[in-house]
Amino acid sequence: MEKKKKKEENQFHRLPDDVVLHIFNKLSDITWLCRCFVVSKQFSSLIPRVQTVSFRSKIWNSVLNSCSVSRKFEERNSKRKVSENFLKPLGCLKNLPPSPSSRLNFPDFAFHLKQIQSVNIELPFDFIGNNDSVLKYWGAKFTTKLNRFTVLYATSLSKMVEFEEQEEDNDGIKENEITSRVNLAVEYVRDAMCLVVILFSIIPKYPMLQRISITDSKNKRVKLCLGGEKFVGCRNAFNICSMISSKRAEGWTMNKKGGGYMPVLRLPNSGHVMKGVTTAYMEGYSGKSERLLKATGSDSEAETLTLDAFAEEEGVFSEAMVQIQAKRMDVIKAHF
Amino acid sequence: MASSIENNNEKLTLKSSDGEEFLVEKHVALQSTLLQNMLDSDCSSADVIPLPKIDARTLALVLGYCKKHADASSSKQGELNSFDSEFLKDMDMGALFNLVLAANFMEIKGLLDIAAQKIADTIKDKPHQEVREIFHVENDYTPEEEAAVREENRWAFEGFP
Repeated sequence: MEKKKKKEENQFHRLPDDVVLHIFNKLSDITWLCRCFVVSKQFSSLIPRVQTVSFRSKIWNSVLNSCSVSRKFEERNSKRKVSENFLKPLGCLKNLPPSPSSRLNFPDFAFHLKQIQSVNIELPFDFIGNNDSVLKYWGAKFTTKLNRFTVLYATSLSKMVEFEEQEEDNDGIKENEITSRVNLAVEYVRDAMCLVVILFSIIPKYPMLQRISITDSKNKRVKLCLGGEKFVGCRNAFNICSMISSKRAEGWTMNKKGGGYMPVLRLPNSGHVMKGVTTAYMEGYSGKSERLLKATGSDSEAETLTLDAFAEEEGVFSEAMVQIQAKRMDVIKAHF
Repeated sequence: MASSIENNNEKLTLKSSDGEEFLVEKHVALQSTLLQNMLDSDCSSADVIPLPKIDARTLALVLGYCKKHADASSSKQGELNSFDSEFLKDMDMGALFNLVLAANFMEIKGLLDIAAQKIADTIKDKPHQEVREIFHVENDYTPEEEAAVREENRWAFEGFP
Protein backbone atom coordinates (compact mmCIF):
# COMPACT_ATOMS: atom_id res chain seq x y z
CA MET A 1 0.00 0.00 0.00
CA GLU A 2 1.47 3.34 -0.93
CA LYS A 3 1.18 5.99 1.76
CA LYS A 4 -0.94 8.78 0.49
CA LYS A 5 -0.39 12.30 -0.59
CA LYS A 6 -0.03 15.77 0.88
CA LYS A 7 -2.96 17.53 2.43
CA GLU A 8 -5.68 14.99 1.96
CA GLU A 9 -8.85 15.88 0.23
CA ASN A 10 -12.12 16.37 2.08
CA GLN A 11 -13.92 13.19 1.12
CA PHE A 12 -17.34 14.81 1.30
CA HIS A 13 -16.34 17.50 -1.17
CA ARG A 14 -15.88 14.79 -3.75
CA LEU A 15 -19.51 13.75 -3.61
CA PRO A 16 -22.46 15.52 -5.18
CA ASP A 17 -24.87 16.98 -2.64
CA ASP A 18 -27.57 14.41 -3.22
CA VAL A 19 -25.16 11.60 -2.44
CA VAL A 20 -24.07 13.26 0.80
CA LEU A 21 -27.74 13.65 1.61
CA HIS A 22 -28.26 9.98 0.89
CA ILE A 23 -25.62 9.24 3.51
CA PHE A 24 -27.31 11.51 6.04
CA ASN A 25 -30.61 9.80 5.37
CA LYS A 26 -28.92 6.52 6.19
CA LEU A 27 -27.50 8.07 9.33
CA SER A 28 -31.07 8.75 10.29
CA ASP A 29 -30.54 8.94 14.03
CA ILE A 30 -31.55 12.40 15.14
CA THR A 31 -28.92 12.69 17.85
CA TRP A 32 -26.12 12.04 15.41
CA LEU A 33 -27.60 14.27 12.79
CA CYS A 34 -27.75 17.14 15.22
CA ARG A 35 -24.21 16.52 16.38
CA CYS A 36 -23.11 16.61 12.76
CA PHE A 37 -24.22 20.20 12.46
CA VAL A 38 -21.02 21.04 14.27
CA VAL A 39 -18.73 19.21 11.85
CA SER A 40 -18.66 21.75 9.03
CA LYS A 41 -20.72 24.25 7.12
CA GLN A 42 -21.28 21.77 4.32
CA PHE A 43 -22.78 19.37 6.82
CA SER A 44 -24.98 21.96 8.43
CA SER A 45 -26.25 23.20 5.09
CA LEU A 46 -27.26 19.70 3.94
CA ILE A 47 -28.63 18.15 7.11
CA PRO A 48 -31.77 20.31 7.10
CA ARG A 49 -32.73 18.54 3.85
CA VAL A 50 -32.77 15.10 5.42
CA GLN A 51 -36.07 13.29 4.95
CA THR A 52 -35.80 10.20 7.08
CA VAL A 53 -35.20 10.42 10.76
CA SER A 54 -35.31 8.12 13.70
CA PHE A 55 -35.55 9.04 17.34
CA ARG A 56 -33.98 6.70 19.81
CA SER A 57 -35.21 5.97 23.22
CA LYS A 58 -32.55 7.95 25.00
CA ILE A 59 -33.92 11.35 24.19
CA TRP A 60 -37.44 10.20 24.82
CA ASN A 61 -36.62 9.40 28.37
CA SER A 62 -36.42 13.10 28.91
CA VAL A 63 -39.63 13.60 27.01
CA LEU A 64 -41.47 11.07 29.09
CA ASN A 65 -39.97 12.56 32.21
CA SER A 66 -41.10 15.95 31.16
CA CYS A 67 -44.59 14.45 30.86
CA SER A 68 -44.50 13.36 34.42
CA VAL A 69 -43.04 16.58 35.71
CA SER A 70 -45.75 18.43 34.01
CA ARG A 71 -48.33 16.02 35.34
CA LYS A 72 -47.28 16.70 38.86
CA PHE A 73 -47.36 20.37 38.20
CA GLU A 74 -50.81 19.96 36.83
CA GLU A 75 -52.02 18.07 39.88
CA ARG A 76 -50.61 20.62 42.25
CA ASN A 77 -52.26 23.41 40.43
CA SER A 78 -55.68 21.99 40.06
CA LYS A 79 -56.54 20.07 43.16
CA ARG A 80 -60.16 20.21 42.29
CA LYS A 81 -59.66 18.25 39.10
CA VAL A 82 -58.18 15.28 40.84
CA SER A 83 -60.27 12.93 42.92
CA GLU A 84 -63.88 11.92 42.91
CA ASN A 85 -64.06 10.68 39.33
CA PHE A 86 -61.51 8.00 39.92
CA LEU A 87 -61.96 4.55 41.27
CA LYS A 88 -59.40 1.99 42.27
CA PRO A 89 -57.50 0.62 40.47
CA LEU A 90 -58.30 3.05 37.77
CA GLY A 91 -57.35 5.84 40.10
CA CYS A 92 -53.87 5.93 38.71
CA LEU A 93 -55.30 7.27 35.49
CA LYS A 94 -55.23 10.66 37.07
CA ASN A 95 -51.53 10.55 36.31
CA LEU A 96 -52.21 10.60 32.63
CA PRO A 97 -50.49 13.26 30.69
CA PRO A 98 -52.88 15.86 29.45
CA SER A 99 -54.36 14.59 26.24
CA PRO A 100 -53.78 16.21 22.89
CA SER A 101 -54.17 19.86 23.75
CA SER A 102 -50.95 19.84 25.60
CA ARG A 103 -48.68 22.66 26.48
CA LEU A 104 -45.81 20.35 27.26
CA ASN A 105 -42.54 21.81 26.27
CA PHE A 106 -40.92 19.18 24.20
CA PRO A 107 -37.27 19.63 23.56
CA ASP A 108 -37.41 21.28 20.24
CA PHE A 109 -35.11 18.85 18.56
CA ALA A 110 -34.39 19.25 15.02
CA PHE A 111 -36.44 22.35 14.65
CA HIS A 112 -34.36 22.96 11.55
CA LEU A 113 -35.27 19.65 9.96
CA LYS A 114 -38.39 20.89 8.24
CA GLN A 115 -38.18 18.45 5.35
CA ILE A 116 -38.63 15.29 7.32
CA GLN A 117 -41.03 12.94 5.58
CA SER A 118 -40.61 9.83 7.61
CA VAL A 119 -40.02 9.42 11.30
CA ASN A 120 -39.38 6.34 13.33
CA ILE A 121 -39.42 6.61 17.09
CA GLU A 122 -38.15 4.02 19.48
CA LEU A 123 -39.51 4.37 22.95
CA PRO A 124 -38.19 2.84 26.11
CA PHE A 125 -41.56 1.43 27.11
CA ASP A 126 -41.65 -1.32 29.57
CA PHE A 127 -45.11 -2.42 28.68
CA ILE A 128 -45.02 -6.05 29.45
CA GLY A 129 -42.56 -6.16 32.27
CA ASN A 130 -42.73 -9.16 34.51
CA ASN A 131 -46.25 -10.09 33.55
CA ASP A 132 -45.53 -11.70 30.25
CA SER A 133 -46.42 -15.09 31.59
CA VAL A 134 -50.00 -13.89 31.65
CA LEU A 135 -50.03 -11.77 28.65
CA LYS A 136 -49.19 -12.86 25.18
CA TYR A 137 -51.00 -10.53 22.92
CA TRP A 138 -52.61 -7.21 23.27
CA GLY A 139 -53.82 -4.29 21.27
CA ALA A 140 -55.41 -0.97 21.95
CA LYS A 141 -57.46 1.48 20.03
CA PHE A 142 -57.40 5.15 20.65
CA THR A 143 -59.63 7.83 19.26
CA THR A 144 -58.52 11.42 19.42
CA LYS A 145 -62.02 12.62 19.48
CA LEU A 146 -63.59 10.47 22.12
CA ASN A 147 -60.51 9.33 23.92
CA ARG A 148 -61.79 5.85 23.92
CA PHE A 149 -59.33 3.10 24.59
CA THR A 150 -59.96 -0.52 24.04
CA VAL A 151 -57.42 -2.96 25.31
CA LEU A 152 -57.57 -6.60 24.47
CA TYR A 153 -55.24 -9.29 25.58
CA ALA A 154 -55.14 -13.01 25.35
CA THR A 155 -53.16 -15.76 26.95
CA SER A 156 -52.77 -17.53 23.66
CA LEU A 157 -53.49 -17.16 20.02
CA SER A 158 -53.42 -20.17 17.79
CA LYS A 159 -54.55 -21.38 14.43
CA MET A 160 -58.02 -22.80 14.53
CA VAL A 161 -58.14 -26.58 14.46
CA GLU A 162 -60.97 -28.15 12.45
CA PHE A 163 -62.81 -30.12 15.08
CA GLU A 164 -61.94 -28.71 18.40
CA GLU A 165 -64.61 -29.53 20.93
CA GLN A 166 -63.63 -29.03 24.50
CA GLU A 167 -64.68 -25.67 25.83
CA GLU A 168 -62.10 -25.86 28.54
CA ASP A 169 -62.20 -24.17 31.92
CA ASN A 170 -65.20 -21.95 31.76
CA ASP A 171 -64.11 -19.59 34.43
CA GLY A 172 -60.48 -20.48 34.68
CA ILE A 173 -59.27 -17.12 35.72
CA LYS A 174 -58.64 -15.97 39.21
CA GLU A 175 -59.89 -12.79 40.69
CA ASN A 176 -56.38 -11.49 41.42
CA GLU A 177 -55.32 -12.13 37.87
CA ILE A 178 -58.21 -10.06 36.64
CA THR A 179 -57.08 -7.26 38.89
CA SER A 180 -53.58 -7.47 37.54
CA ARG A 181 -54.88 -7.42 34.01
CA VAL A 182 -56.99 -4.40 34.68
CA ASN A 183 -53.97 -2.69 36.12
CA LEU A 184 -52.05 -3.55 33.00
CA ALA A 185 -54.81 -2.12 30.87
CA VAL A 186 -54.54 1.09 32.80
CA GLU A 187 -50.83 1.20 32.16
CA TYR A 188 -51.36 0.66 28.47
CA VAL A 189 -53.81 3.48 28.40
CA ARG A 190 -51.33 5.73 30.10
CA ASP A 191 -48.60 4.82 27.66
CA ALA A 192 -50.96 5.17 24.75
CA MET A 193 -51.75 8.66 26.00
CA CYS A 194 -48.04 9.41 25.99
CA LEU A 195 -47.89 8.28 22.39
CA VAL A 196 -50.67 10.61 21.48
CA VAL A 197 -48.96 13.50 23.19
CA ILE A 198 -45.84 12.66 21.23
CA LEU A 199 -47.73 12.48 17.94
CA PHE A 200 -49.40 15.74 18.73
CA SER A 201 -46.11 17.41 19.36
CA ILE A 202 -44.44 16.08 16.24
CA ILE A 203 -47.02 16.04 13.50
CA PRO A 204 -47.85 19.75 13.44
CA LYS A 205 -44.17 20.67 13.52
CA TYR A 206 -43.14 18.92 10.34
CA PRO A 207 -45.27 19.97 7.42
CA MET A 208 -43.69 17.47 5.03
CA LEU A 209 -44.16 14.49 7.29
CA GLN A 210 -46.01 11.62 5.65
CA ARG A 211 -45.25 8.67 7.81
CA ILE A 212 -44.59 8.06 11.42
CA SER A 213 -43.96 4.88 13.29
CA ILE A 214 -43.40 4.29 16.94
CA THR A 215 -41.89 1.11 18.21
CA ASP A 216 -40.97 -0.20 21.57
CA SER A 217 -37.23 -0.55 21.80
CA LYS A 218 -37.44 -3.21 24.49
CA ASN A 219 -39.55 -5.93 23.04
CA LYS A 220 -40.81 -4.72 19.70
CA ARG A 221 -44.36 -5.52 20.61
CA VAL A 222 -45.77 -2.07 20.59
CA LYS A 223 -46.15 -0.62 17.23
CA LEU A 224 -47.95 2.37 15.96
CA CYS A 225 -47.75 3.03 12.29
CA LEU A 226 -49.31 5.94 10.53
CA GLY A 227 -49.00 6.56 6.86
CA GLY A 228 -51.09 7.44 3.85
CA GLU A 229 -54.72 8.21 4.52
CA LYS A 230 -54.53 7.41 8.18
CA PHE A 231 -51.79 9.92 8.56
CA VAL A 232 -53.75 12.61 6.79
CA GLY A 233 -56.74 11.91 9.02
CA CYS A 234 -54.59 12.19 12.05
CA ARG A 235 -53.06 15.46 10.93
CA ASN A 236 -56.51 16.88 10.31
CA ALA A 237 -57.70 15.81 13.72
CA PHE A 238 -54.73 17.42 15.35
CA ASN A 239 -55.12 20.58 13.35
CA ILE A 240 -58.67 20.93 14.57
CA CYS A 241 -57.58 20.22 18.11
CA SER A 242 -54.84 22.78 18.02
CA MET A 243 -57.07 25.40 16.47
CA ILE A 244 -59.46 25.25 19.33
CA SER A 245 -57.18 24.20 22.10
CA SER A 246 -56.95 26.38 25.08
CA LYS A 247 -53.62 27.45 26.47
CA ARG A 248 -54.10 25.41 29.58
CA ALA A 249 -53.28 21.77 29.66
CA GLU A 250 -56.25 19.71 30.61
CA GLY A 251 -56.50 16.58 32.59
CA TRP A 252 -58.25 13.59 31.19
CA THR A 253 -61.41 12.56 32.92
CA MET A 254 -62.81 9.13 32.56
CA ASN A 255 -66.54 8.77 32.48
CA LYS A 256 -67.09 5.23 31.24
CA LYS A 257 -65.32 1.98 31.69
CA GLY A 258 -65.97 -1.67 31.28
CA GLY A 259 -64.65 -4.92 30.11
CA GLY A 260 -64.85 -8.61 30.54
CA TYR A 261 -63.40 -12.01 30.15
CA MET A 262 -63.89 -14.82 27.69
CA PRO A 263 -62.20 -18.17 28.08
CA VAL A 264 -62.30 -18.90 24.37
CA LEU A 265 -62.90 -16.65 21.42
CA ARG A 266 -63.22 -18.18 17.98
CA LEU A 267 -62.38 -16.11 14.97
CA PRO A 268 -63.60 -17.94 11.88
CA ASN A 269 -62.63 -15.21 9.41
CA SER A 270 -58.98 -15.28 10.19
CA GLY A 271 -59.03 -18.88 11.36
CA HIS A 272 -57.70 -18.29 14.82
CA VAL A 273 -58.64 -19.18 18.35
CA MET A 274 -57.87 -16.89 21.22
CA LYS A 275 -57.83 -18.13 24.74
CA GLY A 276 -58.04 -16.38 28.04
CA VAL A 277 -59.20 -13.19 26.45
CA THR A 278 -59.68 -10.12 28.58
CA THR A 279 -60.97 -6.85 27.29
CA ALA A 280 -61.12 -3.48 28.89
CA TYR A 281 -62.35 -0.20 27.59
CA MET A 282 -62.25 3.26 28.98
CA GLU A 283 -63.79 6.37 27.68
CA GLY A 284 -63.25 9.88 28.79
CA TYR A 285 -62.97 13.43 27.76
CA SER A 286 -60.35 16.02 28.26
CA GLY A 287 -62.45 18.98 29.10
CA LYS A 288 -63.03 22.03 27.07
CA SER A 289 -61.28 21.21 23.85
CA GLU A 290 -63.13 17.93 23.52
CA ARG A 291 -66.45 19.58 23.90
CA LEU A 292 -65.47 22.23 21.42
CA LEU A 293 -64.27 19.57 19.06
CA LYS A 294 -67.58 17.84 19.29
CA ALA A 295 -69.29 21.12 18.58
CA THR A 296 -67.38 21.54 15.32
CA GLY A 297 -69.07 18.32 14.29
CA SER A 298 -66.06 16.72 12.71
CA ASP A 299 -67.11 13.16 12.78
CA SER A 300 -64.85 10.98 10.82
CA GLU A 301 -63.48 7.53 11.38
CA ALA A 302 -60.17 8.81 10.09
CA GLU A 303 -59.58 10.34 13.47
CA THR A 304 -59.01 6.99 15.04
CA LEU A 305 -55.53 6.01 15.98
CA THR A 306 -54.85 2.38 16.42
CA LEU A 307 -52.16 1.21 18.70
CA ASP A 308 -51.62 -2.38 18.10
CA ALA A 309 -49.25 -4.99 19.31
CA PHE A 310 -50.65 -7.52 16.89
CA ALA A 311 -48.53 -5.93 14.25
CA GLU A 312 -48.58 -9.00 12.05
CA GLU A 313 -52.01 -10.15 13.07
CA GLU A 314 -53.89 -6.95 12.58
CA GLY A 315 -56.84 -8.71 11.02
CA VAL A 316 -57.09 -11.04 13.97
CA PHE A 317 -57.20 -8.17 16.38
CA SER A 318 -59.95 -6.32 14.55
CA GLU A 319 -62.00 -9.46 14.12
CA ALA A 320 -61.74 -10.14 17.83
CA MET A 321 -62.83 -6.62 18.61
CA VAL A 322 -65.85 -6.90 16.36
CA GLN A 323 -66.87 -10.21 17.91
CA ILE A 324 -66.46 -8.92 21.39
CA GLN A 325 -68.53 -5.89 20.66
CA ALA A 326 -71.24 -8.08 19.24
CA LYS A 327 -71.23 -10.46 22.17
CA ARG A 328 -70.73 -8.05 24.94
CA MET A 329 -74.27 -8.36 26.22
CA ASP A 330 -74.38 -12.06 26.85
CA VAL A 331 -71.10 -13.83 26.96
CA ILE A 332 -68.78 -11.48 28.68
CA LYS A 333 -69.02 -11.07 32.36
CA ALA A 334 -68.15 -7.61 33.52
CA HIS A 335 -65.39 -7.56 36.02
CA PHE A 336 -64.90 -3.88 36.42
CA MET B 1 -21.20 -19.80 -12.98
CA ALA B 2 -23.66 -20.71 -15.59
CA SER B 3 -22.79 -18.37 -18.38
CA SER B 4 -24.28 -19.31 -21.68
CA ILE B 5 -22.23 -20.35 -24.65
CA GLU B 6 -19.59 -17.85 -25.75
CA ASN B 7 -21.35 -15.20 -27.72
CA ASN B 8 -20.22 -11.74 -28.67
CA ASN B 9 -23.47 -10.17 -27.72
CA GLU B 10 -23.19 -11.54 -24.22
CA LYS B 11 -20.11 -9.50 -23.35
CA LEU B 12 -19.12 -5.91 -23.36
CA THR B 13 -15.96 -4.02 -22.66
CA LEU B 14 -15.65 -1.26 -20.08
CA LYS B 15 -12.70 1.06 -19.95
CA SER B 16 -11.58 2.68 -16.73
CA SER B 17 -10.28 6.25 -16.40
CA ASP B 18 -6.71 4.95 -16.30
CA GLY B 19 -7.16 3.00 -19.48
CA GLU B 20 -7.65 -0.54 -18.26
CA GLU B 21 -10.24 -2.61 -20.09
CA PHE B 22 -12.66 -5.00 -18.46
CA LEU B 23 -14.59 -7.66 -20.33
CA VAL B 24 -17.96 -8.04 -18.67
CA GLU B 25 -20.81 -10.41 -19.21
CA LYS B 26 -23.94 -8.63 -20.18
CA HIS B 27 -26.10 -9.92 -17.34
CA VAL B 28 -23.48 -8.62 -14.91
CA ALA B 29 -23.41 -5.22 -16.57
CA LEU B 30 -27.19 -5.02 -16.27
CA GLN B 31 -26.82 -4.48 -12.53
CA SER B 32 -25.95 -0.95 -13.53
CA THR B 33 -28.92 1.12 -14.61
CA LEU B 34 -26.60 3.37 -16.57
CA LEU B 35 -25.25 0.48 -18.65
CA GLN B 36 -28.70 -1.01 -18.97
CA ASN B 37 -30.01 2.22 -20.45
CA MET B 38 -27.04 2.38 -22.80
CA LEU B 39 -27.68 -1.16 -23.97
CA ASP B 40 -31.41 -0.53 -24.32
CA SER B 41 -30.81 2.53 -26.41
CA ASP B 42 -28.63 0.30 -28.53
CA CYS B 43 -25.24 1.83 -28.06
CA SER B 44 -23.61 -1.05 -29.80
CA SER B 45 -22.23 -3.50 -27.31
CA ALA B 46 -19.31 -4.23 -29.57
CA ASP B 47 -17.83 -0.87 -28.68
CA VAL B 48 -15.73 -0.15 -25.69
CA ILE B 49 -17.67 1.84 -23.11
CA PRO B 50 -15.44 4.41 -21.45
CA LEU B 51 -16.04 5.23 -17.81
CA PRO B 52 -13.86 8.31 -17.44
CA LYS B 53 -14.69 8.90 -13.78
CA ILE B 54 -13.83 5.46 -12.45
CA ASP B 55 -10.32 4.13 -11.95
CA ALA B 56 -9.37 0.50 -12.53
CA ARG B 57 -9.17 -0.44 -8.88
CA THR B 58 -12.66 0.87 -8.16
CA LEU B 59 -14.12 -0.57 -11.32
CA ALA B 60 -12.77 -4.00 -10.43
CA LEU B 61 -14.51 -3.77 -7.06
CA VAL B 62 -17.75 -2.57 -8.62
CA LEU B 63 -17.74 -5.40 -11.15
CA GLY B 64 -17.02 -7.89 -8.38
CA TYR B 65 -20.12 -6.68 -6.59
CA CYS B 66 -22.21 -6.78 -9.76
CA LYS B 67 -21.07 -10.27 -10.63
CA LYS B 68 -21.94 -11.62 -7.23
CA HIS B 69 -25.37 -10.05 -7.31
CA ALA B 70 -26.08 -11.01 -10.90
CA ASP B 71 -25.12 -14.64 -10.37
CA ALA B 72 -26.76 -15.26 -7.02
CA SER B 73 -30.32 -16.37 -7.14
CA SER B 74 -32.71 -14.23 -5.18
CA SER B 75 -33.32 -17.07 -2.76
CA LYS B 76 -29.87 -16.63 -1.35
CA GLN B 77 -30.50 -13.28 0.26
CA GLY B 78 -28.68 -14.25 3.42
CA GLU B 79 -25.57 -15.17 1.49
CA LEU B 80 -25.69 -11.90 -0.39
CA ASN B 81 -26.02 -9.94 2.82
CA SER B 82 -22.93 -11.52 4.29
CA PHE B 83 -21.12 -10.96 1.01
CA ASP B 84 -22.10 -7.28 1.18
CA SER B 85 -20.80 -6.74 4.68
CA GLU B 86 -17.61 -8.65 3.93
CA PHE B 87 -17.20 -6.69 0.74
CA LEU B 88 -16.87 -3.34 2.49
CA LYS B 89 -15.09 -4.56 5.55
CA ASP B 90 -11.73 -2.93 6.24
CA MET B 91 -12.02 -0.79 3.16
CA ASP B 92 -10.23 2.53 3.56
CA MET B 93 -12.24 5.72 3.29
CA GLY B 94 -10.68 6.78 0.00
CA ALA B 95 -11.70 3.52 -1.63
CA LEU B 96 -15.14 3.64 -0.05
CA PHE B 97 -15.83 7.12 -1.37
CA ASN B 98 -14.55 6.09 -4.80
CA LEU B 99 -17.03 3.26 -4.65
CA VAL B 100 -19.90 5.56 -3.69
CA LEU B 101 -19.05 7.85 -6.59
CA ALA B 102 -18.85 4.94 -9.00
CA ALA B 103 -22.11 3.41 -7.76
CA ASN B 104 -23.79 6.77 -8.06
CA PHE B 105 -22.45 7.34 -11.55
CA MET B 106 -23.24 3.84 -12.79
CA GLU B 107 -26.57 3.86 -10.95
CA ILE B 108 -26.13 0.69 -8.97
CA LYS B 109 -28.61 1.26 -6.21
CA GLY B 110 -27.77 -1.68 -3.98
CA LEU B 111 -24.10 -0.82 -3.93
CA LEU B 112 -24.79 2.85 -3.34
CA ASP B 113 -27.02 1.94 -0.42
CA ILE B 114 -24.58 -0.33 1.35
CA ALA B 115 -21.66 2.01 0.81
CA ALA B 116 -23.64 5.03 2.04
CA GLN B 117 -24.77 3.00 5.03
CA LYS B 118 -21.19 2.10 5.76
CA ILE B 119 -20.17 5.76 5.76
CA ALA B 120 -23.16 6.65 7.94
CA ASP B 121 -22.19 3.93 10.39
CA THR B 122 -18.69 5.34 10.50
CA ILE B 123 -20.02 8.76 11.44
CA LYS B 124 -22.19 7.33 14.17
CA ASP B 125 -20.79 7.03 17.66
CA LYS B 126 -17.85 9.33 16.96
CA PRO B 127 -17.15 12.80 18.30
CA HIS B 128 -17.34 15.44 15.59
CA GLN B 129 -13.59 16.11 15.88
CA GLU B 130 -12.96 12.53 14.94
CA VAL B 131 -15.46 12.68 12.09
CA ARG B 132 -13.45 15.60 10.72
CA GLU B 133 -10.23 13.66 10.97
CA ILE B 134 -11.52 10.49 9.37
CA PHE B 135 -12.99 12.24 6.36
CA HIS B 136 -10.45 15.08 6.19
CA VAL B 137 -13.15 17.66 6.66
CA GLU B 138 -11.67 21.02 7.54
CA ASN B 139 -13.45 22.92 10.25
CA ASP B 140 -14.69 26.03 8.49
CA TYR B 141 -16.43 27.48 11.53
CA THR B 142 -14.89 30.22 13.59
CA PRO B 143 -14.68 29.22 17.26
CA GLU B 144 -17.61 31.53 18.00
CA GLU B 145 -19.74 30.05 15.23
CA GLU B 146 -18.94 26.54 16.35
CA ALA B 147 -19.91 27.35 19.90
CA ALA B 148 -23.19 28.82 18.69
CA VAL B 149 -24.08 25.81 16.55
CA ARG B 150 -23.21 23.54 19.41
CA GLU B 151 -25.37 25.53 21.75
CA GLU B 152 -28.30 25.29 19.34
CA ASN B 153 -28.01 21.53 19.43
CA ARG B 154 -27.03 21.27 23.04
CA TRP B 155 -29.44 18.45 23.85
CA ALA B 156 -27.62 16.22 21.35
CA PHE B 157 -24.36 16.62 23.19
CA GLU B 158 -25.64 15.74 26.62
CA GLY B 159 -23.41 13.13 28.14
CA PHE B 160 -21.01 13.55 25.28
CA PRO B 161 -17.55 15.15 25.27
